[in-house]
Amino acid sequence: MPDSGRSDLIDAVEGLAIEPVTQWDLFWSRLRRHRFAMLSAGFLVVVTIIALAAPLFTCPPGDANQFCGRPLESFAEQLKDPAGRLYVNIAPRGDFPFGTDELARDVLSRVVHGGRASLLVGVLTGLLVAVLGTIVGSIAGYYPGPVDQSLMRFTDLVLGLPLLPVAIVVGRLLPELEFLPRWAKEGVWGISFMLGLLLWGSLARIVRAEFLSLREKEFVEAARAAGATDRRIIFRHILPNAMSPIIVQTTLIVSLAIILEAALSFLGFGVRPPIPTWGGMAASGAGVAVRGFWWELVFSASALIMTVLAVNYIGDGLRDALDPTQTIERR
Amino acid sequence: MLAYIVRRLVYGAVTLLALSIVVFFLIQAGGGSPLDRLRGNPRMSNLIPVLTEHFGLDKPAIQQYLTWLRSFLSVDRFEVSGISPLVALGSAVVYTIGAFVITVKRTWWRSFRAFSIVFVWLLAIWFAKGRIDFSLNWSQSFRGDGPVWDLIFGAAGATFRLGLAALTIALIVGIPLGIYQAIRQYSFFDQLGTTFAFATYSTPIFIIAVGLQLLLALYLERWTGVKLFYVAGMTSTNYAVLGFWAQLGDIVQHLTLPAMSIALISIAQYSRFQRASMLEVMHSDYLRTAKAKGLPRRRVIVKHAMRNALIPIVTLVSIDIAGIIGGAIITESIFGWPGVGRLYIGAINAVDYPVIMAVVMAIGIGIVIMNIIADILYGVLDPRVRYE
Amino acid sequence: MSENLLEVSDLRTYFSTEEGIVRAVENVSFTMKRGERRGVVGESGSGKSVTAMSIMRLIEPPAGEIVTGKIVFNGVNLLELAEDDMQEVRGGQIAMIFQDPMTALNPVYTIGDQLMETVLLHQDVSRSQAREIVIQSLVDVQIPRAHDRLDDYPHQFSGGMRQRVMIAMGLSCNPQLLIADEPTTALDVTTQAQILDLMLKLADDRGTAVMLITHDLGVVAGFCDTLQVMYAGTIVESGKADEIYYDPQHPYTWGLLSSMTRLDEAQRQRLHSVKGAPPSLINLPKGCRFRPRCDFAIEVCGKALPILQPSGSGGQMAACHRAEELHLASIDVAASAPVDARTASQEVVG
Repeated sequence: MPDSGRSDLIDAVEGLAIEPVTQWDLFWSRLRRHRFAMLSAGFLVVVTIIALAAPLFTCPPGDANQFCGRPLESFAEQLKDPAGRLYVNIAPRGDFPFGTDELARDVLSRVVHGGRASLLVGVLTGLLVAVLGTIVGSIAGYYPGPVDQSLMRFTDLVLGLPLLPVAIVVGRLLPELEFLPRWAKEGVWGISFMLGLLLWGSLARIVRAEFLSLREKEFVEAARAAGATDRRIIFRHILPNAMSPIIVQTTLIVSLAIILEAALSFLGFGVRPPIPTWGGMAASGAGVAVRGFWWELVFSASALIMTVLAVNYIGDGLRDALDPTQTIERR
Repeated sequence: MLAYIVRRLVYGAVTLLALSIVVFFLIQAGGGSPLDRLRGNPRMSNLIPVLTEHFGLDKPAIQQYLTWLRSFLSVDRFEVSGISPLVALGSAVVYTIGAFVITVKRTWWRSFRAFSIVFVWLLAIWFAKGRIDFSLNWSQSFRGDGPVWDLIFGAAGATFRLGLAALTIALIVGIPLGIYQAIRQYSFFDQLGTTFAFATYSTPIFIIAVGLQLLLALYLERWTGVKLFYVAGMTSTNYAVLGFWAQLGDIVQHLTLPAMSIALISIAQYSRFQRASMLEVMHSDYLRTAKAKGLPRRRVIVKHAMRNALIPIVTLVSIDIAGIIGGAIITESIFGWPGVGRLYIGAINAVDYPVIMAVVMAIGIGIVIMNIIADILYGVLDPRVRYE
Repeated sequence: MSENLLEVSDLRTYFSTEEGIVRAVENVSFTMKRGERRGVVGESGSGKSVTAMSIMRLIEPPAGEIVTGKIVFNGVNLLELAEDDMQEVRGGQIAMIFQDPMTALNPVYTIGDQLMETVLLHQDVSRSQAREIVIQSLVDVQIPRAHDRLDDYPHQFSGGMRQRVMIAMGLSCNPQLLIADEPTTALDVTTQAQILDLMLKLADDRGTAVMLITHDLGVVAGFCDTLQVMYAGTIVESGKADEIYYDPQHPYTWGLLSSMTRLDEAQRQRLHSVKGAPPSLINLPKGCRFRPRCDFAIEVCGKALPILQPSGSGGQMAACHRAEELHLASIDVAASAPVDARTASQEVVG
């Protein structure tokens, strides 16, 4: 595991190495040393490819007629045997490698499709948080005084909201908000949008702190003295130097969003069925696992846990690689 | 210090006001009426206009909000039996002020003062509790369950028990775990702890809860025939007829699994944080000084390192209170725990907004108070902190 | 008991890092007499702090390890002592003062608490006696109102005052050796001399030997009897302080001396500087470690590591192949552009 375990003595003697290395080299070599992060990155690439290619993967081996040709709807399809009876709660076997659920749907194809939704929730929320947090944090950090004050008071307020209770209210009412278009009410977009709106606060704080310290740095003073506009200073000089914490925090938000969506799905306020998400599947699987139908919980839950774990490891590796001095997670 | 607390309280009140506005108007925007569920019932549906008027649901949203706010803030019952509870609370106030007026320049005094104040207040509240009948109005539940205040306080005890147990487990396990990991950095145990922490906070709490139910209750009983833990409720049906120790055992058997479900995630967080903070302290200059003095390693770690490394965790715990409450909402519905979380989910499904509002506000108040306590505690532990 | 207080021989302290093994201290040997004031000079990373930490046995495995060597203190090899006995030595017989007084004191305990801790640990006294001893030691380091300030926390003291507290802590148990690791570097220039003066006067009163670690030859000039110059983990020159000043034998010492501003030679305009940077302690150059930066290097310097041997008239030791032939003291600093220097040395040889 990575950490700052070495004494300052070593840091002192280590400083003597005088090979010219670029920031990128340094970043890359540190990241590569983090074996879990590299492994996780590989895993995530595979999962993403599978999720993107989900429509191609939906024919369960041995099942001749039900799925191929209508791949996109297949995750919602109820499976029947030749005699017309539903395949309900079938344990994993040749034609259903992951078994079927209590509505006679193929768990494998649902896990593959569930990845699309869960990953999308993570990515969309992460993007929204990155954009909102960076904008608010940059403005607050670059324009001290009343702008900063009011923005940070607002941020404190958002951070002060009890996350899950508020997310539950919004998740419950989202489909009933009449002014929203349908795609925003149900499904992935609405949930991601809501989570993004609730989670940007911590990043805004981090970005603000970063801007506050960077705007006093010599190179920014120099740019200002050279007559650079505020916009140029923000985008060319400060923002690139503030990227590390933004990237790391966004990674953490991605994993948090996937977990939160799962929790909301469990309570019935997440992405609405029949759209499968890992969280939703694990939630309904959790209800029947007690009756012995373990496959309805285990496969979706492992996919979810492994993916979130991978994202967290990548976040950890990035933090170590981008900023080795910052090892304590402060609020 | 007093000025600081007052300022924090004012700011907390503003946050709570904002919270109430956000949630109230979200519910309004949802458009669903709490009376909708009566619509399908032919005998009840003609009551809808009457009830709508009774609850003021036909009024503009802003007026409904103000009505709610007034009822939320107004005192319903306030009766004091005798003078003694007032004396108890009054002497707690006097002690608090006195303790701050008296200045003793000794290391132990700071800690003693803080803990004695907490102790005196607990004592006074415990004494006064049964002797003061107090309730706010908080309006009525739309589902006819009675006054919201009574609903919340009926459920709060259960959630408090669950949350306190979870927090205690998390602190008792998480902090020593992190410290030990830091002391044995890079050891197998350290690696194991880190892997455990990552795995745990990558898992949604409901999966942890169901997993514990399956492993420690269902399969354990199936394989060994021993019924160690219960998976539903707070007590067994025969609780009332049990002896004291049997009652205690029964409580523990019911409490363990739900509390552990919540605690595991907190353990992961605390141990990671404690490990990092301990490592930072272990590499600090003052620790080198302590070693150079010739202190035994144990004294160096216990007196000089741990005392410093424990300070930042106070902040983490105060933030995590919200997480524990969130965890309780989910865990309660899995373990059939009759707490605020279950009340909340029920109210959400029925759009019973006085209850929704009250629960959100109660949680918000709890968080504000915990944050203030954490700030004060931080000041007690770290002499450098000044409240300005 | 022998005359020598401390005999360090053949000390090697290595650190293992992800990049490789750092040879922080290599083959360091020296002795200190009772009451001696010894200056240890070198750039950061030259191994002077690691030497001190090795003497205190504060190098912690697995990161760092004392690989070989003997550290004989009062006739006892500290490296063979049990940890319990070593704790008696630390703070009791050998005390150490660190560079940054702002961070060297524990922020959550009062000054009095931290000072009394040391006294109670090493002396058989009651708490109230310890309190008196501590107050006296604070008076000794000239802290005003010592009695009141005992219950103040470190953050209520200024940097200079905190270093005084550190000195009081170091001397409160009358140690035989005080190791001061750059005790004034972090302080205001105006307080530096005060603190040093005070520290050395108190040490003298108690007959305590002082090992003053610094990167500043000027500091040593005023305060020390003997001097050792360290470079890249080894001692390159050692001996009596005045002799080294007036007749440096090692080009590195010479370079350091030339880079000092001297008031008596104020008319000279140019200040010399030692070019280049110290080598990585992981990939050390073959032969003499100073060779890449040395103005006088010849072929043999790239092949064999020079050992510390007597050199010059004054009886000091230097680790340089050409120590005897160079007569560095006579080389004009102002004309010490590399080419000139090389010419000069060839003239001497020729």
